Amino acid sequence: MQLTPRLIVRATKFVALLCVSFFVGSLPAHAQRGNQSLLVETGTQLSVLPNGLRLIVKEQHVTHLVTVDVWVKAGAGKELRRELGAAHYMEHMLFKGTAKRKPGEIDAAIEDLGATLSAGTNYDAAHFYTTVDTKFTSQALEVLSDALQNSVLDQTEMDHERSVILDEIVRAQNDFRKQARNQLFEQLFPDQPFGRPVLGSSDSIRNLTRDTLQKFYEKWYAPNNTTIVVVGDINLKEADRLVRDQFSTWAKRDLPAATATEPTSATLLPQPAPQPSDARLIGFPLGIREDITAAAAAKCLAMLLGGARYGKIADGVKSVFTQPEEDPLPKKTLTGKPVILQASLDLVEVDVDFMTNGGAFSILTVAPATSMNAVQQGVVSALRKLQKTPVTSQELEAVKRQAIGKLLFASETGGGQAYSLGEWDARGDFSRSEKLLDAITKLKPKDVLTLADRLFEPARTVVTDFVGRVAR
Amino acid sequence: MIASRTVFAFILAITLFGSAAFAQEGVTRLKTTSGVTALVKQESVGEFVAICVFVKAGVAEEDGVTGIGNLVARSLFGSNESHSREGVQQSIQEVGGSLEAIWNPDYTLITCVTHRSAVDDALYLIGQAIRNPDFDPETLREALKGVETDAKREGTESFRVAYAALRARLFEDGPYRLPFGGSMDNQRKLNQATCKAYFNKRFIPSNTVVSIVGNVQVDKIEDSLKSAFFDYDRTPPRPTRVIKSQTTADRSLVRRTANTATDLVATGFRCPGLRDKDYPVAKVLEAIMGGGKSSRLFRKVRDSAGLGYAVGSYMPSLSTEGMLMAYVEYAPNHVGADGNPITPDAVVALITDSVQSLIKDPPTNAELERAKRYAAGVHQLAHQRARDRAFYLGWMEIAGPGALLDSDLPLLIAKVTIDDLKRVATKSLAFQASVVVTPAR
Repeated sequence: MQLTPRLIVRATKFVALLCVSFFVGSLPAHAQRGNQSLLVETGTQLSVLPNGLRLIVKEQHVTHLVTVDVWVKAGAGKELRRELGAAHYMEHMLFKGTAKRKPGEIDAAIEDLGATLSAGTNYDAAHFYTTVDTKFTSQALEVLSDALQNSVLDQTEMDHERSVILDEIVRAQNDFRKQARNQLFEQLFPDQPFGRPVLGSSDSIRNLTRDTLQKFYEKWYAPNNTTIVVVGDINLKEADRLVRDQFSTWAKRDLPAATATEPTSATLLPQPAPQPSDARLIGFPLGIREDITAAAAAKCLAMLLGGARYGKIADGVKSVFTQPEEDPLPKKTLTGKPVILQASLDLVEVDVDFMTNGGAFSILTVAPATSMNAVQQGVVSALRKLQKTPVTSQELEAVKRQAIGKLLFASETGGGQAYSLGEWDARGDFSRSEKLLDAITKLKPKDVLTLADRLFEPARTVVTDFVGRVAR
Repeated sequence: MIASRTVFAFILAITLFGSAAFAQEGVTRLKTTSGVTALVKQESVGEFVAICVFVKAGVAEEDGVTGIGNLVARSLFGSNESHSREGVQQSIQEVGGSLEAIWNPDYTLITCVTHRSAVDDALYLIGQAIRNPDFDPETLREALKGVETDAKREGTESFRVAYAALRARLFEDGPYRLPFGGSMDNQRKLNQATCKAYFNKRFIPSNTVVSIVGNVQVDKIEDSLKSAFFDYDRTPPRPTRVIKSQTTADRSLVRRTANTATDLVATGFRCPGLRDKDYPVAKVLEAIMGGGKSSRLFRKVRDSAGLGYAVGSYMPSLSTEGMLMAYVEYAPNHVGADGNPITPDAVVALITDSVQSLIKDPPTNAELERAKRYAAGVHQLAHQRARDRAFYLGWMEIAGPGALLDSDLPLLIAKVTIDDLKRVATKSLAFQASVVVTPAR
């Protein structure tokens, strides 16, 4: 390369920038455990109230906005079989009135502040969040505090909301990817709540009683099972004061003992589908809880494999279709019709779901049903290759950039950062939210190889054809 | 060199992310000698810079060749005079990979979010794309595939099906009646020559607005722009005649199908567009009608009738003529309070009651104030990302009212009165078109 003056100036600039970045990155962590406040390197702080409520604060003054995101570890993963759908139902009902506020007034109180109140439920937690102008932080916390502590679970409102949730369940069928993942989880985690749909089923929602919901609420909605994440134009001291004002009287409760949930070993078996399907899922129990390097490797592995045109799976499928002599295809499909040797892979989606039960790694392929067995051969070939041969540094650097870019984009807003911190906290450690970026940066080809070797174990693989409407 | 620099940039971004003082904003307006308008919003913090390049090449500029704008937008980053297709793709990765071009009914938009040290390279790449793309056959084939995929996807999204049907009713004779993105039949007939001819006519400096937001220095940006657009100097064609559209007299319920599991009922109304002085009033009207969970629509349809998970309103970003849409999506077997399955006509009636109440029962002061705060708040929340700040700035400029409207809109919303709402509601809600989209069997 020719070193032009312009390049030399740029090179100098970047060496300087790199020095700054290393300097900032090597600042020591401050630990002040004595007064229950912990300052981690990145400026995210944790405070724990006497009633066990956790407060995570990330001070950031880019805009005059504050996100408040309350995470209650009361996700679908906590449901007993007879409570199916209760976690998500509770998320809906929390906005339906308290002793102080009638139905509709909780949303109205937040919308009066020029904001919206939203919520979500996953397997590990339910969360309730809003982003407001800094000056309204106290009011937003007051509304959330009232909703969380004093929900009345009115029977009439519950019946209204039942039909809304039934509509939501039907609406979820519009996203065949989610439906397909539900189907996969059912087989990956049989006999675990993680194998049941977060929304519940139409039957379970029709039959869920107020008494069941009330018990679920009393069991899990407690300060010692809750984390409030505050991100934005506010410091820890102020956030701490405002949160204590609203939440310190919330009485601590004994929580049910955690039940150990281990991923199930399944067997590699292409299950014959009732009808030829255009979508096939291959899934693996991820088994990652604390190992942040493995988590980073899983993210990158998913990116290496994914993409209908350029990923490793697409390459594997192409190789199967173009080298039938060397890698023989099954001559007949499960229906007895001849395989059409046409490389037609419409969609490949590779997902990593981190969850408290260890999570899942899933591969969804969409192709004409007649080609699906050949496509699967291509997938298996791509996975085996990754188990044997390390990815090149160049390949890894490219996916690292993509992975980091995605994470940074997701965390560009206060809401995005609060989500990530809360989600990781619900899984056990909020600091992994920020450590993940660092772990991706430091990832080596051997880390990917190690994970691939452990993960893609035939004895722990589930293969299932999606039964349902594939809209693509 | 650029690749290693990008890695450094990411490392830096990771470590510095979040440390900051207040961003002090001010917009500098620049004009290149050939006539490109550039708006630079200099912020004192952050490592990322967002670049939006708007070219007035929307549905009104297609001269009847529906879909050509969409195909051209998708082909901008193929090969060009200086680089092969692979070379361009490589360069896109080197500036962070987020560079993309999309077509919109009012403009073609190129967006790039990159590290501030790569702005110069990103602008160079964009300059290459809007000066002399080749539209080579391979690139056009890829673009056509993308159009096809998108068209298929539209058939699975009842909301998009409903939106298109309502536009056809509300904007008869006007360009917004057309299917956005064009038809496959049209696009298959297009080739390198037709794309180049369209491109040369529409991608011209006086039709181009660049908006840049981030921690940049204006004088450096000015230099980069000069270099990136140095021979982007095509002269403008005769101006396109703006056709004012009529609303069709047909008031029957439009019926469509989509590959979905749900029913969707939507009603649409004409309302003041972005260029209209009553645009802020329309924003408040939308907030009262279906913005948020305390809106009339949400309370009547979801809270009281227990109908639909997705209930709300939509005011698309159309610049010349505005449109307001209210919608409810629900299970086809939804049983109403009387124990019978609810019919689409009953849902239309429910939405109509809710919307028309805005004329019969004008909002109270409390309702007005909440709606104003909500509308202004939504506008503020839509500016959290640098990319979005760049978008709004450029969009307001290219669409007509000028970039200043971006910062003025909350102030104008604050001035809306009940009388303003009555006036605009009476005019806008007089005619409604309704559509029901049901699952294809």
